[in-house]
Amino acid sequence: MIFSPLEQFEIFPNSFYIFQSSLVTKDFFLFSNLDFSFLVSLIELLNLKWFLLESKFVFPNFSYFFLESVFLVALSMLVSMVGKNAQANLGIVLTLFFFILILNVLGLIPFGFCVTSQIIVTQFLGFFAIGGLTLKGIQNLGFNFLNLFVPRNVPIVMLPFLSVIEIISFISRTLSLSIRLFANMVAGHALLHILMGALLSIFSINFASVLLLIVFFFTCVIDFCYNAFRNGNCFSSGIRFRCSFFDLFK
Amino acid sequence: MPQLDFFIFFDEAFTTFIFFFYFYYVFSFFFIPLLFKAKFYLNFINKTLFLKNFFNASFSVSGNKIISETKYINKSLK
Repeated sequence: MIFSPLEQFEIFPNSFYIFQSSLVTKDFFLFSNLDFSFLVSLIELLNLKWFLLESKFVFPNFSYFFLESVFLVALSMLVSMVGKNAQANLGIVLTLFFFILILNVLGLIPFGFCVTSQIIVTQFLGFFAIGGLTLKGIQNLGFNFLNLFVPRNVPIVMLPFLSVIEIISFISRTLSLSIRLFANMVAGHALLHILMGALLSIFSINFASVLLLIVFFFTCVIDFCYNAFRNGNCFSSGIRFRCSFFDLFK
Repeated sequence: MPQLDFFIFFDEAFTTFIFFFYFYYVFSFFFIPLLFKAKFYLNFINKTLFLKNFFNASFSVSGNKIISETKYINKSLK
């Protein structure tokens, strides 16, 4: 049985029977599938936090170096693009990056719910990112912040029109940023759903076997990548082939 | 479409705000201070070995904290 590809993005306000039957009425307390996905992302974050702060390893392993390198790459990008004074804003940049990354990856799990496919979530992130940027700019630069809307080396006759266009483009950046993520997520997940339905209908096979194949494939890919980074070859045990993962791209 | 319901819309925005704020709290107060200590593992060494070294140094005859600390780390490395 094949469902509509857009059915997976629907929000069910009370997906759990426990919360429906509780004393808190369903009109005031919503626990939707979206909230459940957020809770799963929180578990992922707490796992990361435990791994970095609470685990008993004294000396760093692969994961520490990997995360540290991700942090340092973000820091160097921020410094090179904005300047040295922007180091204090590393927190919000990294938070945005990891927030979207974790939610997108969680959306790929079968029977999961893609949170970033909801327009309000992406709209919220875009609106507050651009709003915060504007406030910070006004705080730092004051009246000079308006120079952003005045393009250079332009004849004075054209300036009013161009500044209006600049202002509109600056405001519409919130919309464009949010709709880009939203549309990508919806299109990608709908496409996956359609391909899955086509696979099921053409080969007329069980859904569980397809799921097992997908899980097997992804575990192989993850294992190969992990061993390639860790050992220099794709295989963890047995005969070690002299084929490095990086040698393929030389 | 349930997404057009204002109450659900508000609920989604509110949950996004709460979870984003918690992410920001964890990153800015736990992870990035670790980064600005330059190395993650220094924190673990300090956590686990600092008190022992401090007491060893204070009760030892030489009383040189740095030397005892380096000795301890070298021992643990072996």
